[in-house]
Amino acid sequence: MFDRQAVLDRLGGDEQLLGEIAGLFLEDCPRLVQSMREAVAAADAPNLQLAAHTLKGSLSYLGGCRICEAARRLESIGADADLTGAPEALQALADQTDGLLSALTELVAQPAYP
Amino acid sequence: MSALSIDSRSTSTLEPPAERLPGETTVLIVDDNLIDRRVAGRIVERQNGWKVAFARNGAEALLALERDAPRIVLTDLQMPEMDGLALVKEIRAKHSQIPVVLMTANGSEKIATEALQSGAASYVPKRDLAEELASTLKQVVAAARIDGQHQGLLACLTQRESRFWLGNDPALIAGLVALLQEDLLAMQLCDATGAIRVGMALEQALLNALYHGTLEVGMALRRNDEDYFRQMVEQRRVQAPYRNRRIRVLATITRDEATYVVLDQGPGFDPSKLPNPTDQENLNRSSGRGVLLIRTFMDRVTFSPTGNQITMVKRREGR
Repeated sequence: MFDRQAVLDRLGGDEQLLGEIAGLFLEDCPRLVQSMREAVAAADAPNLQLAAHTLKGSLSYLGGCRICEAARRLESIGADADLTGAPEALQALADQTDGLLSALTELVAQPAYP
Repeated sequence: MSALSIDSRSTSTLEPPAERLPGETTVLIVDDNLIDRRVAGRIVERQNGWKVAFARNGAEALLALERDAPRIVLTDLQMPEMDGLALVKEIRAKHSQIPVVLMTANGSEKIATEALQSGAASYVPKRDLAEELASTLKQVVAAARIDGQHQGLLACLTQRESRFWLGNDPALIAGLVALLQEDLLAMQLCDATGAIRVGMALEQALLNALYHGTLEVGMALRRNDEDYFRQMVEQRRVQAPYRNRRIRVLATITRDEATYVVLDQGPGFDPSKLPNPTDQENLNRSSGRGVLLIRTFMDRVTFSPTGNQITMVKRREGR
């Protein structure tokens, strides 16, 4: 789920930056998932697309292929404005982000750098 | 043919050291995603003498252009308010001397292609920011430093043919590119953005002729192991057969078009093996970027069958 070394490589080995963006993501991700829930409930395709796009961008640093794909799927559901598959896709994404959020909470609590 | 000497103050474009850039360089980073802004900003801040300004979309970027006077803009493509493509067009219309570099990602290939055709100077895949961003920004800033001191005289010029035989000194490339850019502007073949883009294409062609052709050191090596790459370059510059090879550059410029022919004396390659220029997926990879930029920024590009010679034509821009 969370490949610390792969993420660190993408950030040029910058441990401090990893800690910083993990912190930003911990604040941002639940908020974005929440606004996707609201968008799905309100059948608001443009806002679903926007929130999924933003989350996809953040996940591209911290998440793996599977979780990025889940966000990408919601983004295209929003773009197509057919929300039939949205609740299921959102649940799949939320399940995966839960795992990532716990891993990142741990990372921020116990930084590997001095 | 004119007898021109190459500016001896020129610096290496492979990676011009930041401290040689006059004054501070502000990079305007435009992205709607906070984490993307932080990652790119951090890489820029680590460069000596570089400063960062941020904007969250194209509309904010236009205000920041006035406020922060950036030397270069680095932008995302898909953004609310005003996207990267619209921003590229606005900057070309109002600030054509400021180059724009795109950050590309999966899903943005189509808009990235359009932005590259509309005026962007280069691109960096988001997944390669850590390795590629700093060197790309430096290269583009160098290509945008166009010297206008001979403009009055050159405005009287109607045609010029220049021929250069370069050795294998990377430091000469920037000077030659700047000289050729100056001709281009004097002939009014394009605006400042166009000259920056032709400069990027010429530089890529010259770097290919030098590293791939003359010295036979692959750019892939540079990405993987920068120190070893530099060591190989220094070794081969004084070693036979590499040291005896020269690069010939022919530049013919008229009021209608500029033609550049770059020939190296290396073993050549099979040009049909180059990445397919119409495959938009290439925008998500750093490899093959040089040839993609050349093909986008020049109007006609042909290789000799042995790959040693590239001919590039830039026609007058209709505007």
